[in-house]
Amino acid sequence: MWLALYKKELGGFFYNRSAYFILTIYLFLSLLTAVFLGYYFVVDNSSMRSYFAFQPHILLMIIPAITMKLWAEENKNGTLEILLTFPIDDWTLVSAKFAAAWSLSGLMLLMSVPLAVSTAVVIDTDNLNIVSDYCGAFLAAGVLTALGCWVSCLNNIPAAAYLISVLLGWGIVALNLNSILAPIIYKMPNPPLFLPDALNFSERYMSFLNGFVTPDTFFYFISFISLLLFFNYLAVKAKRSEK
Amino acid sequence: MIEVKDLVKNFGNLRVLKSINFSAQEGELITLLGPNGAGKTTLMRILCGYMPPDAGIVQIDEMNFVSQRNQILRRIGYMPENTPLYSEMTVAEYLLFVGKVFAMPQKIFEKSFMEVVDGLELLSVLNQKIQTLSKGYRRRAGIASVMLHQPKYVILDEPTEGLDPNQKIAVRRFLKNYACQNMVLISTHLLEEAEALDGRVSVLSEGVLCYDGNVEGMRSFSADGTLSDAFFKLTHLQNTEKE
Repeated sequence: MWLALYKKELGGFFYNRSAYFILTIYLFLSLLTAVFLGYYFVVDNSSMRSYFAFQPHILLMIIPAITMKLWAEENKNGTLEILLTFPIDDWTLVSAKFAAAWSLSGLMLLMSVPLAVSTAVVIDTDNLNIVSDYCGAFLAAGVLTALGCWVSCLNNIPAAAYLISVLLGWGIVALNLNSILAPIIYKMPNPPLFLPDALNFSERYMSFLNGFVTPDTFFYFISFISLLLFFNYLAVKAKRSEK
Repeated sequence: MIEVKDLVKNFGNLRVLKSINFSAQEGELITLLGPNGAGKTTLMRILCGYMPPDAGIVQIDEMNFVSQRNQILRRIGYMPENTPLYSEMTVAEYLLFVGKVFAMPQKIFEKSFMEVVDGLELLSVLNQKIQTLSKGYRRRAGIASVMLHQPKYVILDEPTEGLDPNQKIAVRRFLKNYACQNMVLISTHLLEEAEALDGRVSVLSEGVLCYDGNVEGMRSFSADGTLSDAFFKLTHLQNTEKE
């Protein structure tokens, strides 16, 4: 049952050809930023840092285009009425839609593999660090996908879901918690100085790029994704009762 | 058996269903008649678990939607008005998807698939995308998807709307045949539908069930023996009582 839903969602991206469009735009933006902003062919790129450093900003613009229709379109077309009267748990629905969108994000990231291979042919690469980069980008994509799924569930208009997801995604990616939390933390008797960095998305992402990955970094991303999926689950529950 | 007791549904300050009492069992073909805005769609949506009632009890085979939602939904086939389907899929793909959602065993699926495809004359459009189907075929594809898992209770919102006379006859024949061992509840505002199906008729007006019986019994409300006159009197009587 879960697999059927997952395949339907993933197939939906390719049926209406939106996936091809999204993949092309993503690849174009990624290469453009890596080459012209990250000076990919100029600086030392043994860990493809110039490529992955810009990924959260590109993903926060691209992933909402994947997720915006997931729930909003179902609502608009009336198929949500069919879906919610199937004998499917809300968790199954939420997780299948998320997994399909995350899979497409993963596929999107894999499009840079030819670049990684050709880089490895030209220079001596730090392959373990590159794997770490991919893990970081995939987990970051997971957070933005879960956010997009939740926002799409709250909106009936895909365009609105896109814009709100970009805005919230930008908040997650670019927000510097140090400046926000510092005034509060320093007033505490025993200030937990580690907290702003521990909660900062960009800090956590950078630890993957630096090749310094600890279990708590994985835990951070997984728990962030789980929290957003839980919000999505609550939004589906609310949809059932609001009718 | 479906049992509805003192069912109430409000949309804001508007009371759409006013203490509905209703029961139905296998072997019955029920036509839910009513003018536009009578509450037919709302009643159907509550019966299939899409929306919860504000008060009252809905029991299906002595189970309720709060604790045994999925068990109930396995026994129900529901098609909303306008037949919302996944347009990008072909008819065969959609039926296969529904079969998987209901976790139908392969052999039962194949048998049931052939039955609905033959019964609703869908063979010629099986590999056609739903978005390219005519209204009639789309409706029949929707009915086929509802019947596929062989539900005990079939709930169809205006299933013959938009069909040509020949298609209407074919669909009615199929529904009558299916109702021999199961329950079929259809809603319509067309009196010819009730007459042609010649089963049980329930008339809903202004959220009140004002008649529940057979076609002949309904005629007795008319001075000239026509259903249209009886329908007018029943629904008008409701309005007069309200005033």
